[in-house]
Amino acid sequence: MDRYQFEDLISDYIENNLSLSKRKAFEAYMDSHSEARRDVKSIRETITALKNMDTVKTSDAFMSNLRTRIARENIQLASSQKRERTFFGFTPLYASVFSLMVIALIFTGIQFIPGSGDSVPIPGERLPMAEQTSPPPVVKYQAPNERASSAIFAETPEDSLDDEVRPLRNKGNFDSRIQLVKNPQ
Amino acid sequence: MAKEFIFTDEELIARFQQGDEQAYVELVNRYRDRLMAFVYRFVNDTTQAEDIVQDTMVKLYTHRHFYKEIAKFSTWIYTIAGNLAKTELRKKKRRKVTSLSQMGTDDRDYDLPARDEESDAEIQGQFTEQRLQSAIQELPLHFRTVVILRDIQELSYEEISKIVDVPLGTVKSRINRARLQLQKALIEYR
Repeated sequence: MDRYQFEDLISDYIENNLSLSKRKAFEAYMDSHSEARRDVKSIRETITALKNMDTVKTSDAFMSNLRTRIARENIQLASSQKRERTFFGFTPLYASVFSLMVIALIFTGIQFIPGSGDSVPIPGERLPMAEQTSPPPVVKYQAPNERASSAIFAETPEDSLDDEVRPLRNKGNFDSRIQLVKNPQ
Repeated sequence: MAKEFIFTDEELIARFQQGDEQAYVELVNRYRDRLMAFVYRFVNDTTQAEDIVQDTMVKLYTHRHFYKEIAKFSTWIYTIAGNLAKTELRKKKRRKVTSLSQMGTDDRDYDLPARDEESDAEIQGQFTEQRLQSAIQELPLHFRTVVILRDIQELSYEEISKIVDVPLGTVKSRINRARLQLQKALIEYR
């Protein structure tokens, strides 16, 4: 054990926190170094002196002074709460900034709605009565194959949605292609 | 007083958080002198120490809802007091200190008669106490805190570790080093 190791273990030795082997090594060092033994004795006395230091207490006016300070704090807190009106917990400045951000977000979002076009409907606006009577024309999109089928299933040419009825392309005799089982020729 | 009527510190702070101001008064009475002893050894000024303890109690009143039951109440309140004491010490260092002992040209010494006859032992005891207090003031802040909490306030190593927020091993090492420094400082005074 060297001097540094010895110094590191002084507090543990005084407080009886050393293992048996370390305690023996510590005491062996003390036996061989007289100033080490003096240091341990001196530190023990210092610890005892610290424990026995005069207790310092608060003054008799401590509690009354504290009550005065707390009353002052409560008054200050109450007056600051009165001064600051809040809207849903936000100060007026933050409330207005937040509202502007929300409105800007709504307007930006509406621009992304398909079919919104140039005119952006203002919520709550009512159209004039003349415009409200006839519903807007519905343009039904038909794929090219659908047009033919609608012509097939139309009972009369007028039923078809097509402007002109297109005849079937391969209107021919399918008999040569289709061979029925009953007439195997 | 019967044991069942004695509330623990944690029970008292819980009651105070629910609005029981009598619980606050009880906590103040329990900790005012303990904190005073701790802070005084830190700042070496009774008036300042009492102000800091008052600040701690006001903080306890206004910030009661900040306490959570994860830590012991004593750990929490000692941490507040220690931080306030350190802040005050830093402010003290920044302030310019002007000496009031600017004597006149005659430089008369005034002998004040002693009111009480003190015994030699009492005088010696006061001298030792003053020397010890001066030696504590000479310690670096991080050594001073732990030695006051351990040797004067008699807190456990675990609690000190939580108050100063350093590992247990570091606390033990600092206390050991602080005691060695105190011992060397006191040898110089002899």
